[in-house]
Amino acid sequence: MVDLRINGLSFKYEKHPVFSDVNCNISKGEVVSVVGRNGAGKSTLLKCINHILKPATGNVYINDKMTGRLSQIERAKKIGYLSQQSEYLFPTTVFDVVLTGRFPHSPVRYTRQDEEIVARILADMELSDFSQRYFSHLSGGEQQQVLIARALAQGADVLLFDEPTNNLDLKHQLQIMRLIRTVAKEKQITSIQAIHDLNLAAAFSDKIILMHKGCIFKMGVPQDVLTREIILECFDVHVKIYNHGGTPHIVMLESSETRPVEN
Amino acid sequence: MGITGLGIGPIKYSLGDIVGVLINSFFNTGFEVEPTAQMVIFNIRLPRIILALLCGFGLAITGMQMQIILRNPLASPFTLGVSSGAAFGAGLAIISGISITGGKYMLIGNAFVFSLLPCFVVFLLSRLSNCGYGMLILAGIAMNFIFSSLSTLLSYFSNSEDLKSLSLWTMGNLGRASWDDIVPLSIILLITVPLLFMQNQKLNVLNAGDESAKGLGVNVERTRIVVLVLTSLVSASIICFTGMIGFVGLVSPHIVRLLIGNDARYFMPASGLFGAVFLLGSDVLALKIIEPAVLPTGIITSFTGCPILLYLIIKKQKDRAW
Repeated sequence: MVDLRINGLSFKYEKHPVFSDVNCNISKGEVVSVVGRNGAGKSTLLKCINHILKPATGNVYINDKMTGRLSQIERAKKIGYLSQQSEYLFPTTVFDVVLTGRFPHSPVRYTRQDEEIVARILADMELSDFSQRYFSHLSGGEQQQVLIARALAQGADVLLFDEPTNNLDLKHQLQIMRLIRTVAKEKQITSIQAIHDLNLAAAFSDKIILMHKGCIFKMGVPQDVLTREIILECFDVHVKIYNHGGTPHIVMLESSETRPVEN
Repeated sequence: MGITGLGIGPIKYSLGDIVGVLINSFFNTGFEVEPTAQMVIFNIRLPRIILALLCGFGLAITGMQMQIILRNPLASPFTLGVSSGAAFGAGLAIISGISITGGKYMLIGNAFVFSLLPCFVVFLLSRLSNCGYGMLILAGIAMNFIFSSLSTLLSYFSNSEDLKSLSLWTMGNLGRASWDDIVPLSIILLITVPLLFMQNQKLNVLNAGDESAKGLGVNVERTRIVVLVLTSLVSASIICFTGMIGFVGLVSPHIVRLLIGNDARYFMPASGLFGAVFLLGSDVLALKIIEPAVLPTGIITSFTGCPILLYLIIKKQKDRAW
């Protein structure tokens, strides 16, 4: 069953193309990681899927419905987006942060039902104790959990995460990736994340999209995409790959730029 | 506080006088009141109080919305150059006698039109170059400087009489209040304030940043333009009647935020109410502080607002969240 279909998507910053002709099909409840070098267009791709940036060409379909034609608010009911950094300018409590997830459903005034939904999500995620604390007082990992709660309150079918594990310690990186996977599988929410850590991507994704030189270089299950040759070509880094119960585990050697010529 | 405001001033009236005048004015009952008391209370003091409440309310909610929409806690209704434009417009009317509207509204009309001019330039810039928040504020500051220099130029060529009335105008004063001012101002506020209230929930989402807000379904560009146009209109219409009353718009939202938090459902009306009470209180002080002389209200707002804000910052230091 195809749920999310990206068809011939391309984007330019003024005249500089960032990526062109991106096509892919993602099934409902799949966890997909978009990997690639800095500037490969990972984040830009996510923003185009959500029309935060307007794609130059191409369309995104959810259940065969073209999302480009929807109003921003209708689109927000289908696609949730978690930006790289959350910048709450004025102090806001965790409860109010999650409540803003209900905006697409109650754009004028939140209802009692919205508040009940938020309270239930916070309870499910064991965040109830935080609900009256200020968002900015939480640690990075806790903030990310709250933002995932906000995305769940939004009730979208597809969630886009722009580097969800940025600035997190090892334990919290694992915790957040586990949470994303659990949410995807339990609630059948398709989840796409731009991510740098290839091992995290390999361990938690059903599918990996590797972006290189403005297009999808390779797409598929982790063991097909994360091979020694492909990583050397795209990242210019020599790696050794261990098989860890079917999941590729990548150990970085040295960059080819610093390697002696005879190698 | 309103009743106190009616009683104080260069001439004192008792509570009985005030009640008598009010009943007489609104119900035509033929109460025995002194004609001067009737004149002073109904035609001078009551409009002044209502003007204070309206202006305080308007300035505070525009300040609150500007701070969120420009993502800057230092933004105020005057950030985009409204006040300097207004001062230049007023100066043009006072000193050179050039005015867009004639007669009684000569000064007010000029101030209103010129106060919208810098905002218009800033909008145009933001539409043309799609610039960020920092640039928008910078453009506002640039407009501020341009119009301030123009005002200085005007004052340089003016005589001392005109200079005095211009500088009095810029100080911000509720003393010129009359029913003729209240009516147009109320109409503008009645139209714009509900529209601003409707933006409330969107502003709450915008607090999360532009990209997140877009992801949550807010049309960020449109909301920004709507709020900037409405807030400029409100602050321009207030400032053209009162002159520059600073600090209310900047500080009321912060004080209210420190007191009751950020919940949009209460935050905007509470900011407005606080602004209204704050400006009225300042005006009462302005009348009282060196009796029988009356100080310009604009001077008092800064003197009283600043200590309240500093006190709250120190008191709330422990759970300060930014």
